[in-house]
Amino acid sequence: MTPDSRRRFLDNPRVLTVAAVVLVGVLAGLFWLSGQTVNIAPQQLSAVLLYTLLPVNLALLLALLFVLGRNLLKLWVEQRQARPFARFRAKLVGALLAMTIIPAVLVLASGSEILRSSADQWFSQPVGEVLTGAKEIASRYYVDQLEQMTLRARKLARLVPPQTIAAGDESGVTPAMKDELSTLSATIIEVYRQPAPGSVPAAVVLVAAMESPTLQIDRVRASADLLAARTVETRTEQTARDLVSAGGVLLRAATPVLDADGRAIGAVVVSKYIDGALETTAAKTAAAYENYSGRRLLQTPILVSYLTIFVTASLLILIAATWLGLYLAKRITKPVQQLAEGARAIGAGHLEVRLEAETSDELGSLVEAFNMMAAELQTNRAKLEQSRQDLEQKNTEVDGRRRYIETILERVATGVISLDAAGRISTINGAAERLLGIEGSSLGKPAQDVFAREDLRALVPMIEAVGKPGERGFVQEVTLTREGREINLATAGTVLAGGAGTAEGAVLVLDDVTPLIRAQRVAAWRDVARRLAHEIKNPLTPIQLSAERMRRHFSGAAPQTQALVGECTDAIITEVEALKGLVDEFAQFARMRGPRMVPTDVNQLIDDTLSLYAGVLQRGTLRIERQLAAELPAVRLDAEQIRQVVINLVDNAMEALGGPDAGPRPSGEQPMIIVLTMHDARNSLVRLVVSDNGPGVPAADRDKLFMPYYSTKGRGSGLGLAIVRRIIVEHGGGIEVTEAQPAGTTFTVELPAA
Amino acid sequence: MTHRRVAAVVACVASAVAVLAAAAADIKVNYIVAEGRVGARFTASDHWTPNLREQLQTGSTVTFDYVAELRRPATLWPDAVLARTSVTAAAKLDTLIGGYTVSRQRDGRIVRVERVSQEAEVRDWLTIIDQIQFDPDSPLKINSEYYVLVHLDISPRRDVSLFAFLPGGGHDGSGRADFTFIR
Repeated sequence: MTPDSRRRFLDNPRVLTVAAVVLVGVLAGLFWLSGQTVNIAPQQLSAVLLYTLLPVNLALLLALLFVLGRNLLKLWVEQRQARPFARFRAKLVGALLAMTIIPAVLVLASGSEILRSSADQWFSQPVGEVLTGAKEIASRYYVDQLEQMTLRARKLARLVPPQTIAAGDESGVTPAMKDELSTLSATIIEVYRQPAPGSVPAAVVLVAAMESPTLQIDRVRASADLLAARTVETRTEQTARDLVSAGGVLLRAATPVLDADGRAIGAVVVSKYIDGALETTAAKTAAAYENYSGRRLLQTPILVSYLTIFVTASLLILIAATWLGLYLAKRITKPVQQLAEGARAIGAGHLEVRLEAETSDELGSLVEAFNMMAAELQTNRAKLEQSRQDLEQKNTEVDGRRRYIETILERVATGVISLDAAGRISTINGAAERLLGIEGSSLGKPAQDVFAREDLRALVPMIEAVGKPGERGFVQEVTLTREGREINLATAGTVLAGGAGTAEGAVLVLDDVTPLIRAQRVAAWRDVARRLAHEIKNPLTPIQLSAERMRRHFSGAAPQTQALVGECTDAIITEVEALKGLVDEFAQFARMRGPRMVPTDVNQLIDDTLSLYAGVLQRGTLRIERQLAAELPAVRLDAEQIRQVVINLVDNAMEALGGPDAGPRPSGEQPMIIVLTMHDARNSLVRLVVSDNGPGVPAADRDKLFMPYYSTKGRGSGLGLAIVRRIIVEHGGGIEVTEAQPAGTTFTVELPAA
Repeated sequence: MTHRRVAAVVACVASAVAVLAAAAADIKVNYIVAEGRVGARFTASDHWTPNLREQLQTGSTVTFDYVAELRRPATLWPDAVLARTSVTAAAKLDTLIGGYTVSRQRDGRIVRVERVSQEAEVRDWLTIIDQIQFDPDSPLKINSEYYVLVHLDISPRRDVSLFAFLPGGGHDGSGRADFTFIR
């Protein structure tokens, strides 16, 4: 039987009803039995009842101990295991057991004491004396009667001649019998003889019998015969009390008749009839005495028998009460325990837990409420789970979108800075960091503080602008000067408005328009150059021709005049030629073609270009050192234009160092030009750096170096670096000049990797 | 279980065995082997006690129930019971006129009823049983060991024995006579 089926079996009302009926029946039987004990002989009471109930009691006691021990052991184990509500259940069981066991034990003890004291009362001395006295009276009457009859029998035995009896002569004995009978009432006289040895029959033989005329009863010959035979056999007087079927009793006294030799040859039996009423009274008196005396002697087993019945009933009640108490405790605590375990399971996340309502009472309602709560929680958790999954999906999407935007923001050349409502920098992309020269550690810091730096101070008004109430946004160009370079930024600020219209922050967008500005300037200069070339070159030829005509015209003049004219015309022609060269450079700058870019190995290009200087450098002290990065990616470029860039930069450096034959630098160092390449994989750039340890360029002049017609050499058109910048810009790159350490100038060209 | 508890249990068992053993040696049993048959005579004089005489004087019927068995001892199994006979001797005082009515049953049949006047006769009637014959289903084996076992139950009982319901624990007395069957 499984625990569940056993529990259902025990919870079945029919089973409980049957058990209760059986218990009541057994108890009723015990009560009936105790009531019937008065009708049971004392010896039967002690011999049967006691020894039948003793093992029953022992079994009941063992059952009680088993039930108690088992449940107490279970409670102990539950407490050791710290099961929920174990202590509460133990207390409840203890209380219920105390409520059942203590009263039962008290009733048992007090009942036993009452029984014991009652037994003493049953066999009290006065009762015994009364019964003994009554019996003695009745007995004395009977004994007196028997003594009277014994005397009569003796008398007849003496009066009747032995030989008459031996001869069986009835007539010889009847006279004496008549005489004796005449003085007696309700009496029977019988004379027996003992047959001679070997004769038939062997038993005594009735010789004569006479009875009082008034006696109207059936005589019981057999009893008298037996009494006579025993008298003859034992040769002693015998008495007997024979019941008569019609009621009453015959008291008999027998005396042996002895011959001269002392042998018993017969017997005289005198019987007196005692009527039924007297006999009944005497018999009842004797029976009462015997019953009382017998019970008094058997007081201990009788008392124990009653105690046994009482103990049996008490044990049955105790077992039933104990079992009922344990059952009720279980019925009360089990749902609570189940609820606790269920709550714990739900707390652990097992919302599918459901409890079985075993009762329809308040505890059952509680279990149903628990199940409803668990179902509601399960439904809500399913909804929450669905919401969580949706949210997770949305988060994933948002995260992907965020990563996408971050990637874009990181990749775009536009700097983006977001500020929170308090004006702190919340995000900043790499382009903004590069443009402004700030690091990611600026995150979370107030933008006012970050932009308080000298070179960024021009941005402070923007921060203040987006912080103004009602400001929606702005577009503005800002020029920053950082490390001697001008950076032209096209800035846009947008205020992030919340749901209530309040400002929740701002986004600053910074576009580096420096190349664009530069390109615009170059384009302007190209236009100027073209116009200059067009406007200046055209009159130069007539001027030159006119000068040559004047020199020819005055070729015949006085030598002094001829010398003056020749000197003037030579000057004119020379300057015109110079102007023509200058105009040609302008024309070349204005008409420079666009690059034809193909993937090119920059290191190889530099090697080839620098090899042109091999002959020049052999005779001087100046050295060109190559530091070319390995595994440099190919770059889409116009090799001729980039070669021109390298030559321009190297020529400028050599000129700054004093030419191939330049002496050591004031610091004692050898004049050195370093040409190096490097790969900026993060920004996908290839850098070409030409650095010298010459005197360097003042910081104020660095940005002007790339402007047309600016030269620090005092000669030339000043278009070299302008052309270099134009070439680099048209390649999508950039060039900047910085101060070399400890001295000198560094030109850095950045070209996008292919 | 501690040693003290073990010792207590052993002492209880030993006491019970001692009580039973003491009750098992108070009937004198004499076996009689004659003409291939086994008879017995037994005496339970020790059970004629003042308590019993007192009970007899109250008019209660005093009964001596004897069960005599002819058994063959076995080593591993319970001893085989070859024949069984029961004898019940009863005595009752006529409290009105004195004198005793004694009776005897054998195997449930009344075989004798007498009236005696002397208490000594009653004593002998109750405690001396002779002319008991066993009728086993199969003949006894020559030179085999047998024994006659007699149990006595006296009623009414004035004492209460907690071991009365155990096998062998309810007898008031018993006796045994071992013999080797020789034709």
